Amino acid sequence: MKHAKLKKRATAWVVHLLLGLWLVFSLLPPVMLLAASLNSTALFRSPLDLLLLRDFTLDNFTQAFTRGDFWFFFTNSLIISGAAVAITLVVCVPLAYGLTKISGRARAAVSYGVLAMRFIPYVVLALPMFLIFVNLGLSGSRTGLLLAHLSIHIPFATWMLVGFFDTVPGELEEAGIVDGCTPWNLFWDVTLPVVRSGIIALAILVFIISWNEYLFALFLAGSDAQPLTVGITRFLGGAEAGAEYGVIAAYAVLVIAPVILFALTANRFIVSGMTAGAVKG
Amino acid sequence: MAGVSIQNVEKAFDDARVIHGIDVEIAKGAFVVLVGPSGCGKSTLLRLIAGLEDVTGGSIRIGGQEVNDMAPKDRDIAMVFQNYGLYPHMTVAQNMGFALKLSGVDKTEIAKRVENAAGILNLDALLDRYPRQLSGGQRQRVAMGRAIVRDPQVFLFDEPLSNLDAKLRVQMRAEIKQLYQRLKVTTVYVTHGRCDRGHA
Repeated sequence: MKHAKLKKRATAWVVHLLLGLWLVFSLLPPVMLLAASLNSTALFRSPLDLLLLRDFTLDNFTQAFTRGDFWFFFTNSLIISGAAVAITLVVCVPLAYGLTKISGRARAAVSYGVLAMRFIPYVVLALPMFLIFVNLGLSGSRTGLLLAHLSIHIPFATWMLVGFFDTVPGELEEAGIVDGCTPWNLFWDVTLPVVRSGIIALAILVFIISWNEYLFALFLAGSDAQPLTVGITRFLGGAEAGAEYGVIAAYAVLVIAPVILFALTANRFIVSGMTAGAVKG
Repeated sequence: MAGVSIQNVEKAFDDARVIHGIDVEIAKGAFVVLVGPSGCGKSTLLRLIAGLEDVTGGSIRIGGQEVNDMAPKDRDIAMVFQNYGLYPHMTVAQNMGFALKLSGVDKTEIAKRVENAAGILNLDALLDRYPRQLSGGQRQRVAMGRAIVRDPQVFLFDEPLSNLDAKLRVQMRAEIKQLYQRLKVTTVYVTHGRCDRGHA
């Protein structure tokens, strides 16, 4: 009896130790980033010096804001990511719902067609998109970059949403039909609220993907539509200047902060186990 | 309240004929139990009456009126589903009042009728709960409450007790019987269990 208890305790210790190590391992990069942003000389210092803020300064942040045109890039990022989320949801939610209502071959064909877009690594898409956008006069515009993002989001989101809608028991809509729902009521009042949490999670994901996107931005944004991910590169410096790691770190902190805020805010609306109790589980 | 008249009704799903010309007369206020093994078409017949499936041939009349081409909501029927089919994002009261809300009944009237039905089914204390906070038996009672709030011509029960444990099944069966004796509404009750038939 005593032996078993001891064994259980030891296991708990080991598990917690491993989890602790994992926590340190995953938190170290962002913590180091924050530390680097708050020190005047990020390079050639030991990590411990950085963590102890031996050369504490806020100058890096001032630099990022003033020399870095932070708000210009921030506005681009915010508009593109925000619009990407809004358009993706407006397009994909009805599309995916419709897909779950058609049966057999038609559904498979459309679903696979949509998913097939994901088979192509999107680096491959960047060049033809660039050529197309040049011809359409969309290169270097936010609209162009937004369209490029949507080409990634729409297949992905549709595929995810079909999965969400499929989890809604058919009996729920039948109950709705008997209760007198129009097709719109069935969609809006019965099914949509049930998958709400999934949609919010998806919105967070789409926002983060857009916010962190770099490749399309590099190819397609020109100089007018560059988002933060491209903006940060100006501090990588030329051969003579060298990279300003402190400012880059400050910049990176400023890039990450809004995403964390957005995710935390949206997270509050996610209620887990929404379908629980609808039907016999 | 109305009778249900089923005349020479056929139903086929593509090539599979499920119901081959059935005639049933259900008198006004009767309690009819359809019993049979799984897959014999009893649930399909119920769904045909509800309008969740279209008939392939024959005619269904509720209260003398042919309903073949009528939408479920216009048939004045209420259905209790095997898996309850409660809306998980609505409270018990909202679940019960949803049909009335859709048909434009005003709020005070909805509240009154929901309260009334809740009283009959002993759901008064649960009106603000969500389905996930209820036990299986309570959920089934809410599903029944949702049906009686509408004061329909016909009640349809689709194996309502199959998800409950034996003890609860006996209790719920008694409650359904009581409910019927109180309301005397035409009822069609589908079950595959012989014991259900024996007691209902």
